[in-house]
Amino acid sequence: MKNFTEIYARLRRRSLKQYGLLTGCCFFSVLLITSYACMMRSPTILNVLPEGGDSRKQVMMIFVLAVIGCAVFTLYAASLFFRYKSRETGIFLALGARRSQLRRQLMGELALMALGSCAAGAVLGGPLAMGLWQLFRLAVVDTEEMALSFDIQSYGIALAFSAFVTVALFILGRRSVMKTNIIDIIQESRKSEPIHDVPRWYGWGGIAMLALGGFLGYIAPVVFVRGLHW
Amino acid sequence: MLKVNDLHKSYQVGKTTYEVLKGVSFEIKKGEFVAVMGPSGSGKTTLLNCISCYIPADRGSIMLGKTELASLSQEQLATVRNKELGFVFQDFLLLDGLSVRDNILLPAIIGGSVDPDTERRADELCRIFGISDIREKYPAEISGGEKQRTAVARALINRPMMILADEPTGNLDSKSSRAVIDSFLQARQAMGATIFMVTHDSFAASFCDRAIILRDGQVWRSLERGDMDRTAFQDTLLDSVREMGRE
Repeated sequence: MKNFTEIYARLRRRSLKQYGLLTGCCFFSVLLITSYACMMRSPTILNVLPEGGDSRKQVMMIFVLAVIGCAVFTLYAASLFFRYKSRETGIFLALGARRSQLRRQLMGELALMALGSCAAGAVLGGPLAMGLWQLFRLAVVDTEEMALSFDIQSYGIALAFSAFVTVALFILGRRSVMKTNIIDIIQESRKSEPIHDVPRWYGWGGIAMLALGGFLGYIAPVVFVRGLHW
Repeated sequence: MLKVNDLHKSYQVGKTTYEVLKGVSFEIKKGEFVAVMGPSGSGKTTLLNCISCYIPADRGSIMLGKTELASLSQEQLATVRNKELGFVFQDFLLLDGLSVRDNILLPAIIGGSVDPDTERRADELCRIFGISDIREKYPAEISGGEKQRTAVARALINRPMMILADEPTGNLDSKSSRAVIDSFLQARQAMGATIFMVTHDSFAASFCDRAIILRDGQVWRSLERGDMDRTAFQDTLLDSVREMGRE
């Protein structure tokens, strides 16, 4: 083995699970957002839902929640990946690698992963939307007007989310290289992980919060529409 | 080879400043095998981390050869770590995804200087430390002693000015510890290596030419082995530790 790029390639081949996990999470997020955007912006569906009506607002609200959820999911997967990579980064730094050297290698890897997974997610989002719509037609209602059409703007939304995923990976990747502390890596195994007791009330508290969340969700329209007149 | 002069280092935790090194000074000559000992909190690891260029000192100087480490930039310090220093860690710090041979070559690859000569040197180091048979194995497949000998070979691949070892026998049984100390002695004999080792282990320290004992961030005593045999030097070290405990 002659150079740093080969080292990285070999380490990548031995850590396919971690790379696969991050790539899979990015792909799944973009796929989900693309297929939802295709449905949401489809003229077929917009013709059914009246403009300015509650149903359009609900669709938009769910879409916003989906975007937030997918964003958090992707960022969490990325943070797990970079935590895994931090040991390698720390060892390289301890042996005299420069942070710029490591950053260059990592950015190259992240570019391939992000662009590949986002492109695949965006391309497959449309067919997924079509497939789900066909199931709906088979199972619920099927008329002439139900043929799904697509609006090009939905791919604008997919592109924007893909850009967010790519930029987030680059920022987190860069930060992980710049902030990796050699001393922390060297002394990692000397630290003992504190074990916290899980109190019994956590379980009952979780069940209570589930019930409360359901109840609040049920009465929220009443509060916002009749009370606050939104 | 290494000259440390009036080194100070403190840490800030909240509003409290803890002074860990309070004016440490010593010199290490080429080819010496020196141990640094002392109780927990005496500043041994902080001293090693300053010399390793992992953390900057607050005051004082560290001269490695003719280079003053405090005057170097981060990129220059990285070059010093790669070319002039070799590291042996308590936890081996081998990369699990690379074979033993690739781990040994790693500092040379990082420095961009792998040629047929380097690869021959890696094979020679494997032969010297008795790890030729496991060259193509991965760290998960070898014992602790073999991992540490791999780490010693890695530390020597770039022919550094000095090897810095942080509790190299800390995670090993007595037989493996002895094998690692023998590796250091072979490195000194065969390659003229200069070794600076932080250790709690008086047995490991008894093989050294000199032991510097730190207490409360200062050099409390420096013991030369001279003509003493190993057992007598170990007894001297233990007597010093006992004396320190009584004060």
